[in-house]
Amino acid sequence: MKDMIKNKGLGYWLCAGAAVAALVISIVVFATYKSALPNQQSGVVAAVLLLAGFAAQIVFTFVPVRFAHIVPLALYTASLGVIINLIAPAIADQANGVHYQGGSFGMCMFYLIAAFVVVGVCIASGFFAQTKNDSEKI
Amino acid sequence: MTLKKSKLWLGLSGVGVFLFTFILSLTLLANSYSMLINDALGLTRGSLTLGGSAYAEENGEMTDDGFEKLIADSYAFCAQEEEEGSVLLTNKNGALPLKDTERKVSLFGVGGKNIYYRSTAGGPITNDRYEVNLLKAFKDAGFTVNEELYKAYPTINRRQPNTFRSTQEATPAFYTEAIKKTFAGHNDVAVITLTRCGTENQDVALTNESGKHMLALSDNEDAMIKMVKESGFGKVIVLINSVYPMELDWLNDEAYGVDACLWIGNPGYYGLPGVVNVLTGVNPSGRTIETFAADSYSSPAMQNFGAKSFDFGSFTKPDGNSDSFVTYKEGIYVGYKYYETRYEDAMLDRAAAKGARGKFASKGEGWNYADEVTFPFGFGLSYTTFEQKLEKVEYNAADDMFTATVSVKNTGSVDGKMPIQIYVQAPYEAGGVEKSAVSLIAYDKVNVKKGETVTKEIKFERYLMASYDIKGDGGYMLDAGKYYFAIGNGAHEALNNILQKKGVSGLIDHDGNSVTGNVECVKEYDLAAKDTNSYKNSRYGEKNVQVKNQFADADANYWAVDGKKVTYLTRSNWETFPTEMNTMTVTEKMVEGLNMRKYKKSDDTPTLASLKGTYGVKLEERIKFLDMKGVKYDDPKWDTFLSQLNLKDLCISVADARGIQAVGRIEKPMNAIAEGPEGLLATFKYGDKRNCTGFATLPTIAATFDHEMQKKYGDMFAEEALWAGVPMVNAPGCNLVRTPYGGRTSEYFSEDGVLAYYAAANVIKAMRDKGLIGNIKHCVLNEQEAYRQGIATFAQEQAIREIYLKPFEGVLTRGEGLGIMTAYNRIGLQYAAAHAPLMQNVMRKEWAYEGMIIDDALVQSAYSSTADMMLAGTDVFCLDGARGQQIEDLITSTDDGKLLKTLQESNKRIFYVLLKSSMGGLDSETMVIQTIFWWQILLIVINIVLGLAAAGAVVMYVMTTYVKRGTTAKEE
Repeated sequence: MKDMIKNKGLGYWLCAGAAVAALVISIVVFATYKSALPNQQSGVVAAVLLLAGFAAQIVFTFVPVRFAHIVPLALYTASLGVIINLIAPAIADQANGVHYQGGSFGMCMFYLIAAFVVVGVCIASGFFAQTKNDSEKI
Repeated sequence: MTLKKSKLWLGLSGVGVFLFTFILSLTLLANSYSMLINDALGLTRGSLTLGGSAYAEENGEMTDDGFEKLIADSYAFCAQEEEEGSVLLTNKNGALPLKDTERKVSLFGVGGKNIYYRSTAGGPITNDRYEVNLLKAFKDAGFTVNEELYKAYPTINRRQPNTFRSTQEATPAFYTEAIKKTFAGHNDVAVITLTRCGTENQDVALTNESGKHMLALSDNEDAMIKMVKESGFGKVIVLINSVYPMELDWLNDEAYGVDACLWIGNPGYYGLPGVVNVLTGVNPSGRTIETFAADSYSSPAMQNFGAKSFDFGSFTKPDGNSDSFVTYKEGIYVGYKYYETRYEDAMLDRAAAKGARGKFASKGEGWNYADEVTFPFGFGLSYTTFEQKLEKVEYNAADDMFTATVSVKNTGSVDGKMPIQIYVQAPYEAGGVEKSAVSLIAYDKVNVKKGETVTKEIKFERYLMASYDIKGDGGYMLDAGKYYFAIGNGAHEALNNILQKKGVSGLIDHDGNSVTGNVECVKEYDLAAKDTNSYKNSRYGEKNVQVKNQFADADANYWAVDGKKVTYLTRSNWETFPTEMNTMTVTEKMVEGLNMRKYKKSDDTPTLASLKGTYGVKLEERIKFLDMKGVKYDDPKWDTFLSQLNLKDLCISVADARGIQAVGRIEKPMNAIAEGPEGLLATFKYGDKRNCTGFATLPTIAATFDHEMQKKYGDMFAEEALWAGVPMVNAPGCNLVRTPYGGRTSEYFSEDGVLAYYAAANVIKAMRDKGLIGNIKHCVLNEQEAYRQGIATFAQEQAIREIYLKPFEGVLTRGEGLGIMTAYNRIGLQYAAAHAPLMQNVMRKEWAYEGMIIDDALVQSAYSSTADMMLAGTDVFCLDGARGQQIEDLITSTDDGKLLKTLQESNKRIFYVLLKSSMGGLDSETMVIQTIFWWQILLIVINIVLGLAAAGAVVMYVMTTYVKRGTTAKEE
């Protein structure tokens, strides 16, 4: 186990950092979406996608593959896409200076930026090796 | 090298996956809001040119010149609204109007710098270049304004939450010696503005930062007004920039030195010149649309305001917004109907009306009217004086109408307008049906030159004085006995006139002064026998439709367990003044009631296959949308027309995304649905393409007590809609101002259902006459914002019928409305947008309503349950562009022909209504039908390119990593 951890490359650690952030964000989304999202939309799908990305990262910790970042990246990006669709009314309200569709613009922006950061880090990880000695079987 | 290439392709694969998924999500978003994008790109406007404008050229062409004339008239009307709707509350020693020599002014208060023009709910956006702030309004009127003081005040962002829980008034430290020096030279008049704010989804906070009532004077405001008094201004004028009735009992206190007070409501972006005109001589003629209580917590309704939590005990809470409730324990005693009724009973010393229960501002041991009420409903002052007399009231059985003849003499020295207000008192006996001591039944405004007398005939429906009795099947009835009609400057004066006629002594006005009622302002009407027949059946549609109880389960006692029944307020015993109902124990029956997914397909539900031939049919000769213009609602041609549409087509028009998409098969163009209670959230197609006008908000237009002004408001609104290419708008609102703290008061008319009944109908009728469909909102019982999306709202049917539904009834019948929006909340436990008795029995049967019903914006959920809402009567899903596809999926997956037929009915209503709008005047030769636009094609291309790029990167990664590796290994 120790050797496995020691052998992890920069790509892995970037992915792992993104996964921890995804976990935290998913908890925040679960806890706050009822008051944060406009039109009383559900944030469950966005949060579950982030959680799934985190779970995938755990799997790839023990099953090292070269393309380990692709699966969580796809899940995080899907979550980002859902978030963008969910928060659009809050952005529209902010732009129009009205409180039409409810929700919290500040929290919506937090969701958006946090998801972007997770996705960005995960993309960057793809340009670095998952292990130091490039020992992935596939 | 191979490895490096492999890593590069792996990295690029990640980028590709991201870009493809990201753009795909943006594409989905863009398609959901395609109406907005089309509008922004000018594509909607290109396809929908509406006719019928009074500002168009003779040939009907709309030009920039016509637009300029419209804007000039719109902005002039904004000023007129304030001139006719502002309410002069106090005017000591004729302080107003200001003399020509009083033109040096200092504007005090953060509110003066940051006028709350309108709430931040959906509605018109300002045009910065043309907005008229208080400084500009005074300067344009020739005043010398203390600009140093004005500019020293901070600018406030009215969208921040602090706006709703703090006045954000400057502290005493703000008024430094340097600031005070600026008063010199600007000390003819001090104009102090006091502002209170609430909005959609945000009730006014109950307390401010120092724990005082939010609607009371804050510490900083208190200090500011006293400082102004000490500073020696010639006159001190207070402007109330709030639709929420503030606690103003201090106005007559010498410690504050206020000379006059003018209520200006929320004046809109261009209305303040009208306020200055009133200060300088235009005679004000507005009247209060709500009671100004000395203590804003003192009404029975305030005892149960906000969201209270259900106690689920061992039950599992159903999915879907089922946490909270509110109970309207006050019954019919809302606003003045409480204060005035209790006043009469106190005068007659009956039913414990003089007791301490419900005492808030009273200084003695018992309840005292003059201490509790600062300004009564319907009250307002003028720069002149009037003498009015109720000459006669005659009943005509043929049309079931009364005609009142009123003479008004202007006994002052200037011309002036005066609203005639007619009130009625119905006979009441303890234990009988609850009745207010006085109820508004009609109004109209007269313009009387000084020294002259004007006589006015006002007709009104006898139906409006009937009470709703829930006993048995329920229904409207008139008790036998003596009815009193009375006029007066507000409900209190009218009641005093009635009490004088009845021989009651010891009468007082709202200031506590002894007064004698004017019996010449009262007429009697005797009803020999109780009448339960006249209104037993519908007055509007088929005569065999009985008006009977539909909201029995909205009564909390329908659900409450024994021992925990609710006591509603009755005037037979004022000890029943409501207590706060903090929680309610949920039963198994209630858990079932709270579940909004009730629909289950039955065995005899038709399948889609069995309905073949009734939809998706190819006719020999296609029937287009415009071909249906003028076809009656019950004409069988509608069935043939609808049969052309397949399931996908049928799902287009029920999904609103700030508008309804085009339906290519029948050549129905797309159309916008704009938002906005006091103007359109839209831009003009002509001239400088500015934002549509933000008029003064609805309380101001109600406060004019003028049918013509209210119609003109609807007319101007609809004119602007033509120039913006908008045939439908979610406006106005006509819920009741049940308490002083309800967040959306600026979108509603009054605390009185009958004032709202007339005013809303006037607005909607004028809109309809010019081709704009107004979706009147939010039906029903949406009187607060706290937990609005799902709160269980309990009320007795008498109150629902007589008070809360009355304005909607007026709109859909008298106003000939063709659009109505249901509320977010539950009626009892049932979601308003899935409430079949409301939509099918009351609206469609009792009111013979043929228009469409739209829900308030929610996406599909356990609460917003699609099938239940459709079957109950919801036709259009507001701001939910995804709902169409969801309905299609639902019907396909469940093979539910019943839902398909319901969908056809909804489409029929939608097209029927749109053809009655300005869209009915479209020209089929020039009309553009486009179902897909260039930007949508571009997005599809981008998606394909990115998808191929991502796939290519993955392939290259596989090639450079595995295929190459395999080849190398083989060679070795």
